[in-house]
Amino acid sequence: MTDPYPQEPDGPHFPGDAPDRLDALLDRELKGLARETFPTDRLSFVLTTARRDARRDAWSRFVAWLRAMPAADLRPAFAMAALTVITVTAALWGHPGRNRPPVDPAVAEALDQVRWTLGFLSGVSERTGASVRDDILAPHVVQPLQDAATLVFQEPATLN
Amino acid sequence: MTLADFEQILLRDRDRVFGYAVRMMGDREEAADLVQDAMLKLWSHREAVSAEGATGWLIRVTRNACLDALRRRSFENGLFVREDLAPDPEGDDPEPDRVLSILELRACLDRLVARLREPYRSILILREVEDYRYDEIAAALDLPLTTVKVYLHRARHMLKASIAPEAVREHV
Repeated sequence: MTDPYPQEPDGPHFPGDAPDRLDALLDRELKGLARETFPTDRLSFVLTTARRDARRDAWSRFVAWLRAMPAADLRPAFAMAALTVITVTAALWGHPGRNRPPVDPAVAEALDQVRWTLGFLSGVSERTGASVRDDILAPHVVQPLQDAATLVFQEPATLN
Repeated sequence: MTLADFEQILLRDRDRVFGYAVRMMGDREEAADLVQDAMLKLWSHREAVSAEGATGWLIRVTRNACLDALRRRSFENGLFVREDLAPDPEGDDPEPDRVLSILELRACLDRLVARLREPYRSILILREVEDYRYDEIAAALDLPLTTVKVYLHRARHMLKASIAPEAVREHV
């Protein structure tokens, strides 16, 4: 059988051990040629397409499996399985408080301090409101109005 | 081939296959188009391709696409040779009395590799630049393992023959 890719004629020869060194140089420099990086946007396009196809395949296989199932025979088993899944799911995730991870002591202390601070501020504002009412509004606004009204009702003739 | 296999193959081989295509085409954008198409083809043939044979399949499809594109380019351009692939008129084959810098030597090697005939060029790039194993190259190019080794030897010989000894005397 003839070789479809015959050997090229010899080129210039190197004297002495130069061919070995040229081989070493070729090895080194060919490995040293610029490395290429496949563009990430193209890679992510390919991966996105493949993942979308894989999801569609999985759904198609599930639907085909369901359709191939003899429904009348397997209905009780299916109902039992669904009930089991619902029960297990509810047991595991139905009570979030039960599965809540323990709070870090430092976080708990910080929360307590925040609560105390809010309570203190609330008390201060309550007291501030009461003192404004008793110390300013009562003597300087409410009392003069009351006095004026009393005067008007007791001596109506003086107004004319 | 599963999605996980496909993802693993892409993560492992994407840069090397792209590097091979860039050296075949001499154009990054065109090479990226071809490699992307080859990857999508590999995925669309996932039922027929095993995970073990996927790398070879990807290289083979990329190579065929590159050769088709080069043929089209050659047909469309007639005798016109792309500037970036064309021999440098100033000294593609280095002048014997001038010593090349290492960067010049690499540029010269790039051009000389691009001028090799197939399958020498593919074998040389896949083995010496992209570091694929002989058996992977043999599977990708559908050639016996010994033939790949013989062709690689010849490709290196051709390459050495194209380099004037004086031009690289400081590097050897």
